[in-house]
This record gives sequence, C-alpha cells and structure tokens, in this order.
Amino acid sequence: MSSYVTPVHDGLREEPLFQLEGLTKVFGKGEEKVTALQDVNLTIRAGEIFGIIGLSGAGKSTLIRCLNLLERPSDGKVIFRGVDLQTLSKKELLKERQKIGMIFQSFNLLQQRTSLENIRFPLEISGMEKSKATARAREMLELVGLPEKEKAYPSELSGGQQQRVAIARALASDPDVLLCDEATSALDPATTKSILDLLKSINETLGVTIVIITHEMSVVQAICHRVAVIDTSIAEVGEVEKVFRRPTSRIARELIFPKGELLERLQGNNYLRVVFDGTAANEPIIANMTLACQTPVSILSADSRNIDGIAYGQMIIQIPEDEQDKEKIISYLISRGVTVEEVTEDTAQNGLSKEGVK
Amino acid sequence: MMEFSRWMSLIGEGLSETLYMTLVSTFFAYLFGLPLGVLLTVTSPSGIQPMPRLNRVLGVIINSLRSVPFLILLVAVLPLTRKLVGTTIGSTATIPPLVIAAAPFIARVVESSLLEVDAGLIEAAESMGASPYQIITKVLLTEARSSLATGAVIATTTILGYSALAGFTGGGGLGAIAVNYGYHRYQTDVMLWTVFLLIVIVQIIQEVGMRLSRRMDARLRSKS
Repeated sequence: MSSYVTPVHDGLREEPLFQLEGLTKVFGKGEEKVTALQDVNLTIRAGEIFGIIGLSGAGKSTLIRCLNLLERPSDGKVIFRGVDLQTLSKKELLKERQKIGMIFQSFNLLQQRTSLENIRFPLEISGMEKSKATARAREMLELVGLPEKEKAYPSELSGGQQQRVAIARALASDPDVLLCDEATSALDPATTKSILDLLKSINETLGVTIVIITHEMSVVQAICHRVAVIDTSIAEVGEVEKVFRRPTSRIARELIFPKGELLERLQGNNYLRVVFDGTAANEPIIANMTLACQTPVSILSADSRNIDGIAYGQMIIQIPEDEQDKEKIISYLISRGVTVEEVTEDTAQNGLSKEGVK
Repeated sequence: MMEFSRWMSLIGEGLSETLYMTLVSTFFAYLFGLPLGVLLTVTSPSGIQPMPRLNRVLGVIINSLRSVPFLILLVAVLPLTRKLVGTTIGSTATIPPLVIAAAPFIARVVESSLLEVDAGLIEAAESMGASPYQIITKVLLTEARSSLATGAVIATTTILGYSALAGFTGGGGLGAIAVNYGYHRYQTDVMLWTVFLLIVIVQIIQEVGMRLSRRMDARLRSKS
C-alpha cells in the first residue's frame, strides 16, 4: 500500500480530470419531455473532492451518471482525462469505466457474494488472475478497516460496513476518480461521519479524485474542496467556504439556510444571518455582542461544524427594531471578523445581500 | 386383484418411467428455456441490451406455445416425435412434447426470477465496465440463483403433472398406469396408489428443492 501514499499537492488540483461542455439530458419525447440537465459546463480537477449539491429532482443523479456514460447525454461533451467519452467504442468505454469507480446510496453489493468476492468482482471483470485479485481484495478490505469481515455476506453487515466494502470494491481496480451517488444518505449521522472521514483519507493518501452528489450541505462542508450548486443547470460553482459564506444563487441559499421553511418566516428587517470562521467561532461572540451593545437578541437557529480543521458556523438572530441598535450590532459583528447579512425578502428570494460584507 | 409381486414391479416400473420422463424433459426444457428466459430479460426495453422487436417476437411465440393445451400439443407434435425418437408411444416419446410445452413456461419462470435482481446491482456492474455477457453470468444468474431454484421446483412439478397426462396417448409412467388400470379397468385401488405416489414425489421435489433454494440464498444469513 505504501506506494500509493503520495501527498496531494495543490498543483495537482489544477489539472482537469472531467470537463463537461454544454451537457444536456432530456428524458422522454414530445409532450412528456423532461429536461433533467440544461447546458451544464463544469470542470472537475484531478485530486480534488468535488461536491455537487441540489434539491431532489435537480438532475444530480443524472449528472453523475453522465460522467461514466451510464446515462448518455442528449447533447454536449463529457471529457475524461482529455478523451471525449462519447467518441469511444463500446469496448473502449468499458475499459475506461474501470478507471472510474462508483458507490451508491443503496451500496449495491452483490448479495450472493462475500465481502472479499464482492471486492474481487471488478478485478474478475478486467480479467485479473484470481490469486492476484484475492490479494488485492484483501489489501482493499484492510484499507477500509474491515479485514475481519472477508467472509461475511452483505446481509451480515451493517449499512456503514456495506458502504465500506462498496468503497473497497470501487477502489480495487485503482481508479482515478471515485463517484459517490448520495453515498451517505442511507446512513445515520455517526456512520456518515466515519464514511466521510474514510473518503477524505482516501483522497489524501491515494490521491483519488472524489465527486460527491448530495442534497445535504453538511456533507459538502465536511469534506469537499469545491462545490457546484445544481438546479438543472449549474447555479454556482466555487470553493466551499466561499459559496457557504456568500451564496449568490437562490437555490444555494435554500440549501445553506438552516431549515428551508425558516425562510418563509424570516422576512422582515430584523433578522441577521451571521456567518463566522475559525477565528471568531472560538470566542463567545454573541454573548460579547450583547454585552458590548447592551441589546438582547434571540437566536432563531445556530449551526456550526468543523471544515478542514476550521470551525465554521452560521446563526440566524433576531435583533431589535430600533435602527441605531441594529447598526451597532452589525458594526460590532463586522469588527469581530464575521460575515453578516440581513435576511430580507430580497436576499431570501434573489440571493442579493446589501451590506455587512467582511 | 393381481398378485403382489407383479403389482409391485408394475408400480416400480411406472415410478422409474415417470422419474425418467420428468427429469430428462426438465433437463432439455431448461436447455432451451433458460437461454430463452435470459434473452427475454436482456432484450426487454428496460434490459441491459434492449432489442424491442426481437423481444416482442419472442414474447408472442412463447405466449402462443403456452396457450396450446398440453393434450392438443401432445397430438399435434406426433410427427415430430416420430422423427426424433422413432416411435410415438412409450415414455421416451413423451419427452419431445413435454420439452416443447415446458420450455416456454420455463422461459417465463426464468424471466421473472431475473427481473427480481435489483437494478442497482446491474448498474454497479455496468459502472465497473462489465460487458453484457459478464452481467448475465456474474450478476443476473448468480444473484437470482435461489429464485431460479424455486422456479425449477415449480417447473419440475408442472412437468411431472404433464407427464402423467401423457398416459392418455400411450406414454408410460404412473399416469399410464392410472389411466389403464384405474380408468379403463375400474381398478380404483391401483389408481389411488398411483395418485398417492405422485403426491409423494411432488412433496419430495418441493421439500428438497425449497430447502436447497433457501440454503443457497446468502441473503437469509442473519446479522451476527
């Protein structure tokens, strides 16, 4: 395994692995036509963990299936390592797919095969000699932390263990990229975290590019470097912290705001969204603010988590209607280095924020 | 009432003929029915190799064959039977019509087993670059093995029932004994005995088959 342990340098992340050009996918014909993807342009760089987030029905699953041509685009190009996948012959495509691992929400392990046999499966497909394949499969089981489960059938494993076996299976043929289709959506929060940690360490130690499809912002925040927000077409793309701190599209705001239904109630002038990074999160900022400004505020929602070793968080607070108090609070928060924006009908609907940018 | 030893040899012969017809017919019926069932599954519009026209033609042929009552089929294929086995009476002569009747039935049974395989597993195999042939052999047939075994139990017992019917047209086996002694000669006791034996055979096939089917299903292993 040691040969795989190469640190990923930032430079590596610049090289494009996937380039999507004008990708469009239409299902059905005539009256029943449904456009799942519309003119999607996207570059996924080698070595990064790339998140694709969207609400259900936004075309996420279709998009990730276009990456290995499980779904044929109606229009546009899918370029993988410089090769337009749609120009390949059937045989060449099957060969190329061995370089693109994939895991699924429902794990999709072969039920009549043990863990070891499941992991050996892609190697059988590529025609690897059995003893070599078995050795490789054992190595993979070790990598995902389940060496003792080699003889267990999927029905004897928990959801988290099944996903680990699925990850081992997807990595067995030494792919360049791992596609994760809602890989943690069927798992409880603790198991989700352990799977995400595993993916992160795989990215760091093996240098495997990871593409994650999810509807949960927390998943993106936990491990992704960059994120694309999708709603049939790409609404916005960028570094996770930038998109999180200053979402510009309505759909991104819907996904980022704690609980979508809050948005409906948060229309008025006395709500603030406070976003803070590591420096501010360590200090009791709200408590200090109330002391400094001598004004009480109520916290409507609060949420913070660890991203890449830095605590990020957001809060929605209700502030007094008095204009002076309001100004005081906003300028205090800005002075403490946090991003503040007023939640108004305008920002909620259009994603434009007017003031208080750090 | 005939003497006991003669009676025993008669029943013994009938039993072995019945088993011979049933097992040989089942074997040949699967030889045709299994690939046909696979073909039906993979060429369906949602299959791994959609071929709508072929699929529809196959469907019509299979449905037509299945619509013909077995007794009619038995008579209708007599010329073919004579060509294949040289005679139209005896247990070997019942094998061609049994195979022709059972193969389309088996194709449907196989198809329904293969359709039970989770589409996600097929997608996963496709994502690994598996060819259609690899998906058939390594995913469809192996994942559905327990269901295929259950189907084989149903097919075998159905063929057993058909083989008894062949007794009417000069076929051998327990069915012929029941017809010749029980029906034509009013020897009710002989008829009841053959019926009893048929019940026992069906029970054994069913019990053993289902037990095997369960044993080969790794999904039934409980979490440790």
